[in-house]
Amino acid sequence: MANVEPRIAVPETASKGDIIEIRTLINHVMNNGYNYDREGVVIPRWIINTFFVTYNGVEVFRSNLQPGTAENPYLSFFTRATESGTLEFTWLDDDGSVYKGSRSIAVT
Amino acid sequence: MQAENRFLNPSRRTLLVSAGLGVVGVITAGTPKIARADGAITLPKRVADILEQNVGKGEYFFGALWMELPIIAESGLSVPVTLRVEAEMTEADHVRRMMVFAPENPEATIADYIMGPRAGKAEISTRLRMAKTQTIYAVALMANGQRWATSVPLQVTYGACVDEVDNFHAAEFLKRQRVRGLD
Repeated sequence: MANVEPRIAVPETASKGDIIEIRTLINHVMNNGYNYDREGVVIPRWIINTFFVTYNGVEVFRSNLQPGTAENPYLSFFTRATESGTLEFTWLDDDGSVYKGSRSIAVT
Repeated sequence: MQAENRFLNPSRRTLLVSAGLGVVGVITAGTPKIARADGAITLPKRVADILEQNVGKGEYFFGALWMELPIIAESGLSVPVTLRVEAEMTEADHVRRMMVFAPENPEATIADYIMGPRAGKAEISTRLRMAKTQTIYAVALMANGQRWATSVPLQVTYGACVDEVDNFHAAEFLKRQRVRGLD
């Protein structure tokens, strides 16, 4: 899908052991396969079906999305700041596309 | 919290029916009859079947799981929801999985969220798509085998799942959505 831009908010710094909030939003139509257009033709299902986050390679959060999730899926969740490193975010599309984003965090 | 207060208040329909029948006296609170005496929840068949297939048989109880929703959703296109479990999130006591269900939607499961003790706090927020006015259910599965559930009724003015898509209005609505720090 053209112009998909994941938006990710992660604190740049944190103290060791802090619980940090992570917020993500990705542009996607999330067609649920039940809507139809002006001509009465059903618009086929096309959604982001999986989202997961790794923190220095270890998976810390995963979500299996279904058509009941709204357009431009937004998700916020928490994780504990354990060490400095990189959080990698991955979204998997029904059409096989993979969208990735990453943010680094400095833990003191 | 908000969700509980709404259960305790008599619903508008109860009041209207009472007025129509000319009933004078005690108006029963609009508490849905889903909570049994032992605190277990009777889930709608559709939700119970999905859960049985995915996580096996078991009872779900009111208690540690909270769900926050608006009272009225102007549009079913995007309804904010927050799920929260009161748990320490230690190795022994943490949330493994949370799921949200809308039994009146074409597909009842909305999403599931898999986490572990590293989350630190069992709270997630997202946005749902609602076909019509209905009661939303959520469940949480704990590492120690406990199962929590809750439900919140939600009024939807304009449903979003099985309609003709008016692309102009949908786009206008979504343009007005803003998320702090993400724009």
